[in-house]
Amino acid sequence: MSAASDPVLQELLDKAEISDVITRYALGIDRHDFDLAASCYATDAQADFYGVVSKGVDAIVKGLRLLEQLDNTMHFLGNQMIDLHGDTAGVETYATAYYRAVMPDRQIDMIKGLRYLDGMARKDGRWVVQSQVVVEHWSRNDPVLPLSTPPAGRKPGPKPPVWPKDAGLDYLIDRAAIRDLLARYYSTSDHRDYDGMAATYTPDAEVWYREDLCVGIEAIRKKVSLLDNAITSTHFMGNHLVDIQGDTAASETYVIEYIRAGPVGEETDLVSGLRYLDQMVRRDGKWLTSARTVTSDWGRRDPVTPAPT
Amino acid sequence: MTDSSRVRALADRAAIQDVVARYFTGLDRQDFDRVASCFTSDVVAEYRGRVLEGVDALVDITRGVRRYAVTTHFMGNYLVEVRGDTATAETYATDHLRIMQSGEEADMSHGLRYYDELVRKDGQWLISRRAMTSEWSRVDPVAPGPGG
Repeated sequence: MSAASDPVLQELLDKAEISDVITRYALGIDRHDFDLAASCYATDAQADFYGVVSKGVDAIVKGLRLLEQLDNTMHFLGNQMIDLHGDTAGVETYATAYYRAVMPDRQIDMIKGLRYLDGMARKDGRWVVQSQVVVEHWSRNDPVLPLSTPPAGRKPGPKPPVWPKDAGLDYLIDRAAIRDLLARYYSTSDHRDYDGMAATYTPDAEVWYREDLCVGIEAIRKKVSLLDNAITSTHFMGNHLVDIQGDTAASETYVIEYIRAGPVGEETDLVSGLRYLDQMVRRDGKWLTSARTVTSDWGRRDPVTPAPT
Repeated sequence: MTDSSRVRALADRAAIQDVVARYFTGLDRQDFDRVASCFTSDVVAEYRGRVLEGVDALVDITRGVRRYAVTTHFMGNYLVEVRGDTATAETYATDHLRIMQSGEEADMSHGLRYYDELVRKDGQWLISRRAMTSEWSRVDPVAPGPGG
């Protein structure tokens, strides 16, 4: 631990590191990188998945490996509350789990509203999960209507960064600025503010939107403005990890994309589980995206029954 | 900016995000004191075009969650801007509400955006103005799984 002299700063550093541990855990199980998942636990950790208790990290990981039977999983993280007490912390994290099961004749998405209750401990200077309870709040099984252009399949992301030993105030500020950059990109795109959107990129940025390469800001703007064809769009941001090295950064972000399209009365939601693999640079003190690969892990076409108002 | 003011700026940002998160978890736990604790007493809110004045009127509306078997208010993107003792925040959320429709279970969900103005009062950030819009909604039947 790099003990900060300012207790407020130390608390912010602890909370950020704890949050990253939970994100690395989700990334680990989604990638079937069980060494990464295991590294998030104390060796004598205890986990309770829907009432099934496992003791010790090996037993826990054995349970997690059941996820390998599924075609695709995305553990999408949302609301998080961290209660810090010195070298221990209680963390509550909302997650929506998307499990794609492919059967010979059909596909199903099992969608679960989960809550992770994690007891964290600082051990040998780093935060790990000591006890974990996973509670299911709701679940639903949706038959999948595939997209007309199916996702190309999962692309691996970069090796997730470990929490830097020397993380301090500058690191936290950069981490927050990069998150803001991403949130601004999605918000401006969803608001059809294409000038605002373009301002999040370097002029010479290169972006792979699924299978299409756009080089330069004008090509990017043309591509993103296809959103004009949608009735509404939401790019919903979840898990985020960033590796910052001086004036460059590499980041991975989970996004659920909801595109509503079609004639009135026959609307369809195109729902996709995306990951944004980004390179950012700092120019004149501002972070900008210089290269991006948008990969679609899963997608579905949902005819809309609107909610009663 | 001095280091200590940069730390304070980060701490404010985190505290503001915590207020918004506290609101959502308050709703999902049906803990309406927790919901009320996120707002100034004279908060003015607009929920899908309906104007609510004062914290009591706002909390009354949120009691509507009691009609659902389960609710989840799931937070995503947030953008916070702090100016001294005031701040603005934009938050994305989706809600998942378990309903009964013609005797069958179904999930109603909405794509929501919250635009908040916050003030610091006695060292605590509170929401003083809010506009919530629903971008989309849908209802999905809750089908049995592969194993029934």
